[in-house]
Amino acid sequence: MTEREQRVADEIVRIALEELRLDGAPPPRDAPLAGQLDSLALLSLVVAVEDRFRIVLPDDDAAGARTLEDFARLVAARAAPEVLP
Amino acid sequence: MILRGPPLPAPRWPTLVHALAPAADDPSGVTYVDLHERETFLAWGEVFARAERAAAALADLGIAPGDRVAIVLRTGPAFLDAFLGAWLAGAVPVPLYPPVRLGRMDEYTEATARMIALSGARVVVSAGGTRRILGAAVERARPPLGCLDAGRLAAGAGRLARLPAPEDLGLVQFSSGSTVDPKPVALTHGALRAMADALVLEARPDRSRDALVSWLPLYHDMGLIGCLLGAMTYPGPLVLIAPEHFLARPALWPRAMARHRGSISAAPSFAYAYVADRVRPADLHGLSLASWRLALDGAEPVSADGLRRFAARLAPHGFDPGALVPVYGLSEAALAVTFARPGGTGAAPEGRRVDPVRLARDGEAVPGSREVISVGTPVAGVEVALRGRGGEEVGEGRLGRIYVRGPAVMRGYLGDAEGTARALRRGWLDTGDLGFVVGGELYVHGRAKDVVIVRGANHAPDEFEAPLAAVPGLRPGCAVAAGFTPEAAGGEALLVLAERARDAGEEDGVLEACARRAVLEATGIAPHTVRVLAPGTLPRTSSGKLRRGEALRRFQAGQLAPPRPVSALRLALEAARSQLAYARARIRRKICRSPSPSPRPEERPGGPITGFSPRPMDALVQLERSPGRTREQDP
Repeated sequence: MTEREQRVADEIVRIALEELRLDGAPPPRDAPLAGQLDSLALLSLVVAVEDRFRIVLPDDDAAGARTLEDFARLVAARAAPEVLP
Repeated sequence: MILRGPPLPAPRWPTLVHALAPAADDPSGVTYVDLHERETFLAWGEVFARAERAAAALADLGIAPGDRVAIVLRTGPAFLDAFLGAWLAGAVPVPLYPPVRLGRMDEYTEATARMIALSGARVVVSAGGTRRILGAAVERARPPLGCLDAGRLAAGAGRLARLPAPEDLGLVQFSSGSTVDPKPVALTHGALRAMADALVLEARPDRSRDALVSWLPLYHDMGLIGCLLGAMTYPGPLVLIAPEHFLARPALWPRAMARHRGSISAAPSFAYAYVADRVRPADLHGLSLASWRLALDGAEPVSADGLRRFAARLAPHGFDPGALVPVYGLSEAALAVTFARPGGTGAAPEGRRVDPVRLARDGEAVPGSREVISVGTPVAGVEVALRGRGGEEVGEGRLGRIYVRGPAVMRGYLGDAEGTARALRRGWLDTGDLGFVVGGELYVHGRAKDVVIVRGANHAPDEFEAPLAAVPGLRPGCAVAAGFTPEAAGGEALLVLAERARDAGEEDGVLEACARRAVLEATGIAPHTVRVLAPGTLPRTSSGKLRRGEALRRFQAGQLAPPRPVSALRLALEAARSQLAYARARIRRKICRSPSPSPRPEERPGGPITGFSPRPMDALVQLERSPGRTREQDP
């Protein structure tokens, strides 16, 4: 991951833990998110991340992102520079 | 025991499609609220005009009356275009759930392809990225007209408004299927009209002051029939929030209620608890919820505790706890079967406390410790019968299987004569649910299909699952109880599978012990096996209900693998525990031959290693080694 993607990943973890209160250890970056969060948590995480980075992720792109790493890459590629952490 | 609802009033229209044009003259309409509470308003007149254009576009494409149109769209104007457009084309809408995001795509594709094929859809309507995802499902199910972009529906110049007959098929909705795979429930226009009439009679909306607010998915009956069609046929103001937005920001719901002076809303129990737990005080600051007069709670067993927490949380904002009304229904009955009577007492619903042991063993509701909430009396036109095993009616206070008859009951499962014959007999729908009647009101107590039989007595799994909600470190509402037959035991025994909370610090063994104690304390029955699982391990239906039968099947097949990394150390530990387990099992088999009741494990020196409550690992090893020798729970 690039440094920029790294920061996005950190921000996603922060959203999960602080805003959505999905307590627990930060997920490993290369493990499938679907194995760590239930569908309710996943859905709310995608919505919260879209909101934070002011993007809309089409279903097919979001489905292709399986891990935190994928997710961070996708967000970093789509978000405008000024909203990145 | 038969309960009868009031007679259904004279139909307002032949079908709900006939209600569209009159609704178009009303100034009210649909308000879509987004994540930032920006609102888009479409008057019913505009909704109708768009639907007429969509109907013409569908007909141009080749959709004929009676054709099924699958719809995979999130909450938004396009969903209404497709749904009402299909109706005005004389077709039958089949709403399906949109994809989950960030993974689990294979399961989604498989389930969706199966539903498209089962419904016999001629076309799938979707949009954007969802449509691209559906490619694989469409390729497998091969609907003759492919997958259509919803954007094309409202763009056409033509207009079409066909009117169906009451006996025509009006909707295919998939039952959420807690215990079985989703089934295509076929409802006629007459059934949908009867349900909408019954709901309007029940809610008695007042056009001058009522507004309905819903975040429920539009692909299930409560959001679709109860909210969308209910408001459309009245007609009155409807405020829609996308379910995923509610999940991310639950405050959107009470805030929309306050902003629109909302008076009617419905949700499953979990959502009431979710709001109580997750909404921040700042989000509710200055809100008045005094206009909220009906907060319907249905679609899953009603949790008295969840409702009380919700009421306590929102009461400072003028919310009347007496507005909380438990309801009971199912997709096969086009939604509602019974409604509790609004108390008007200013208090959240209080349950009846019954003795779970007497209820399970003798089928008798006598006073005891377990709280069961009344779901009230049948809605208009509906009859509810409680019957025993031999089909005989059971009396007041006796547990029986719940059967439903009425004009809104499904015609059958589409293309499944066998399944239909099992569910419908002489006009009576077998709900598979158990319940009893006291004081003329229905109390639902578990499902007949999921019954756990321990020591010859029948128990509803909910009974074992409820006390687990209070165990710190376990995820509330994320446990299943089931009956299974371990090799070393003398009959069916209780299995408890519980997901740990994300923040739980305790080790599995500690949580297992706590869960075991909680179940024992609440029910008097020691689980044979308790297994603590990682969050998300238990299988769920599309609406999030736990699938007990499937969980049991996976457990027995050794497929309930928690998604945790396997380290060399863990493998070594498991191997050591297995060896120990074998040794214990050999000893236990000798002890087990003596059937005398054993004292409670915690009262016994030496811990819980006894013939009646062996350690979980033992049973697990035995099950995994000989899956063929354990009895399947589901028929």
